[in-house]
Amino acid sequence: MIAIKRHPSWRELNRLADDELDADARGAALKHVAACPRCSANMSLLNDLRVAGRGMRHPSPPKDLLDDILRDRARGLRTILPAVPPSPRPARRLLPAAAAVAVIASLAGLATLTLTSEAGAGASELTVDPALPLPGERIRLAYRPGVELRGETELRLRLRLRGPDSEPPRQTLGAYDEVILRPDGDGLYVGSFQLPPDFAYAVMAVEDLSGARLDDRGGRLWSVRAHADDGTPLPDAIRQEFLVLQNRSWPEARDALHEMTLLYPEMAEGWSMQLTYEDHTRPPAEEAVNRAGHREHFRQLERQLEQGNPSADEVAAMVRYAWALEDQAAVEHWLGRLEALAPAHRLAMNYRMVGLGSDQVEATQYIELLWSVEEYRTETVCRAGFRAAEVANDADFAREWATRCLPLADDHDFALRLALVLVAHEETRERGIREIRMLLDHVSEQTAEERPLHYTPEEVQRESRVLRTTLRVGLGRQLLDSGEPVAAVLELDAAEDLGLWLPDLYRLRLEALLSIGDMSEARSDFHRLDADPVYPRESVDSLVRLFPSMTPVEREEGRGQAEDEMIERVLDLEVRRGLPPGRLTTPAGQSLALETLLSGRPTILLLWDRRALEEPDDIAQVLRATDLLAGGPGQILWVTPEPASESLQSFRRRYGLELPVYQDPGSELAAALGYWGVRSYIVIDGTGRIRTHAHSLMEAVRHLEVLLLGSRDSA
Amino acid sequence: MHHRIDDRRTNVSENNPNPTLLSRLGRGEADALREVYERYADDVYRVALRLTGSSADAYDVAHDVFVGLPEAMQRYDPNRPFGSWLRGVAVRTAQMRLRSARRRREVALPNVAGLAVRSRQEAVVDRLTLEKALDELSPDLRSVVVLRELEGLSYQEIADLLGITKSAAAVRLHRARRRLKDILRGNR
Repeated sequence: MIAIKRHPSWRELNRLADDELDADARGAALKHVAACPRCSANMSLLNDLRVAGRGMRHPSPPKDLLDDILRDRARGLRTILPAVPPSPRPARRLLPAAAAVAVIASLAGLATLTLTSEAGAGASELTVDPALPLPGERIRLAYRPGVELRGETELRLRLRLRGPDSEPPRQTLGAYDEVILRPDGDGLYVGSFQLPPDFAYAVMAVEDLSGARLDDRGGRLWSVRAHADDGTPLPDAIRQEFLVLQNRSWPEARDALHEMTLLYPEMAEGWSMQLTYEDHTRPPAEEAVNRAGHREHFRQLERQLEQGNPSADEVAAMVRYAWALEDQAAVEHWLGRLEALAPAHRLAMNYRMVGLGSDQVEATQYIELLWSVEEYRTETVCRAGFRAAEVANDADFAREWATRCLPLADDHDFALRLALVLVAHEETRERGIREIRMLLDHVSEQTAEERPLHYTPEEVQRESRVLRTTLRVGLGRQLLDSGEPVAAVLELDAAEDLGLWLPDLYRLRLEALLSIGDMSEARSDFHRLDADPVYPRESVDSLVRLFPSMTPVEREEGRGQAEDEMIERVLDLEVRRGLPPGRLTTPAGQSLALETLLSGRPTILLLWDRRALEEPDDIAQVLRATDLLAGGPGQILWVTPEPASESLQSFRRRYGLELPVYQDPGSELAAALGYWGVRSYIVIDGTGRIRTHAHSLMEAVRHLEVLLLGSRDSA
Repeated sequence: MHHRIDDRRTNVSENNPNPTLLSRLGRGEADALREVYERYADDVYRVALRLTGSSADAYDVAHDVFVGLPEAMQRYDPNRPFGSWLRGVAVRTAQMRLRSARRRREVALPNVAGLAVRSRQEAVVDRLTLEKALDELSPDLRSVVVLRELEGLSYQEIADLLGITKSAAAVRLHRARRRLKDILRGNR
């Protein structure tokens, strides 16, 4: 992780101003403040407040006040003065631990939000010359803009370059670079770029120089692969292409795998991935035949590799292939070879961790042994060690691994999980908080320079807000769990300042405020939950009992104010872009334009392939969403690449899913919408404009309800 | 007539009126009320003025406090400093008034962003600016700022006065200061 000089938090500055920091912390804070203009300005403001406060006028009461008082008393006037109440007792914790985990889990999901920009003009074209470049070769780029980007003096082509080893989940997914394209007088914008020597694959998008308008080829991006001298794409290039496509378009990802097995039949990697993906989409009747063919191919590969000297990656591919074939003996055999060849290979440790052929104790010992060797002290080993501690539910062990891993952690989610483990324990809390603050600084400063190709700078800011909110809420929850409600509230306040509407945050903060006995401040969060259209009413009904003195009028006023706040915050995160043209197929086989299906109604497009992911929670959310929208003008359309079939109808009947389902043949519409992942929720207003890509179905329902409130629908 | 705040607080807590005076006050004797008024009216009026930001409201608060004081003496614990207790009563009365006044308010508050601090060199939050900014805070947040920054009370004293926990006092103070920061820098 990049070390960044950390600014003291607002709470720390306040404690410094109030002389509540211990000597060490005070010294460190003062030293920072002296050198930091931002913190110095904040500190000055706090001091100025005090000076101004104490210098405020201090007039005596008017001379006639006493006479008025005595006269009124003599007339029999009496006032009933409020009592100074005794200090309240802190309330007990309200949120069960499991629910608290769910809060964070749902927020953590925020961090995976993908915001796509305006679907680019369809007429644009990008030509790469040579079309089959070698690694290290210079390519010439010629771009013919669509309507949106015509007339610019210059354009910027941005690339995300991936090398052979760019592999999730690590964030070494490549590097960003850019090329300025200039007009050639013939309606084209041209430029050139030197591919790096280790180049495998790149995706590209074109934008104006401000980044506000971009052409990402309708969400699909342009791509270029590295080739061999004979014009064959390199296996690394196909693998990287597959990794990019697997979350965006399954048909295209499958095509990439098919290409790999055709061009490189001797590589187990392509076959194992193909088998895994076929399992998701092939009818059960064909599966047995297909698997038999794969088993035969696996034996051929085994014979070839046994005679040669395979690399660790080749051996790892055989482990994966054997696992996909559910051949336990083959898995054990190739795993043994992998461990002998490369004990710290990620795959070897992953299999240890799922207890394949070993128990957790053995797995833990194995990873500790790896860690004892200097050269194996890698991020991969760290992840495995930390996961072992989590599986064992051993807090001390987890803390030890967190301390080891933090300097090596290279993505925010992992670093946050590690830091929260430290925050949970009093001895390491300060360090954990410090690490999270460094992450916050890192997020603030880094996202702009590593802007994903689909994002405008404004969208990057939005995503940064989401990520920072996630970090702060995570910290707030952990502080509350650790018995630090004051710090938790302030952290959640800071999270709220980032502008998102988050009922889970309000619920958490309400609990923190109740735990310090502040019913008055807690009531604001109650009003927010009360105003939220999807927050469970039974929970609201339960919470309202905590405020027995609140009158119906006060509740209504508070709810109204909170509703205004919700509308403002929800609409602030909107994408607002046009809907690409598209057609969907009804169960009866009729092809209809999307506009026809929308019919001017505010709509949630639920993009969901239930064959890829069918979880009880998905079904429950769909049922709840349809209930919430029942009888209103809003609607949910379920869009799936799955053809109409008895299996699909049976699935709908089994779970009582009454929403209409339409097929998106070849996922054409989904791709044009920038569909990433296995589910997506797109909110479209009554005029046919996309208003947001929601992170969850409930968030989409909330957004729809906000649009229906209508106050700013036309803004 | 600026006191050092800590000195003033010490004086109040150490010099309770004698029990006879307080007994007479409890019986509603006008002379006793006059005597208590002359000793504590400045404190009551000042805190009311700072909390409400309006001399008319401060007048009404001080009026209500002293008119109702004899009856309220039934709730006074003689083991507590009288001045602190009376100030607490004044704070609560002012808060009640502020809440009802806010509900009645129909005219938008003046924009104080124009008075905002621009840089460290000119970073003087003057009295007028602070008074206007305080008016933007909710009654609860305004109270903690007044009691901390203007009255110089500790977190625990604020908590005792407002009937909240010390933690709640800390949270409200931090929230109030951050809100003031936003108001003074025009970031609302």
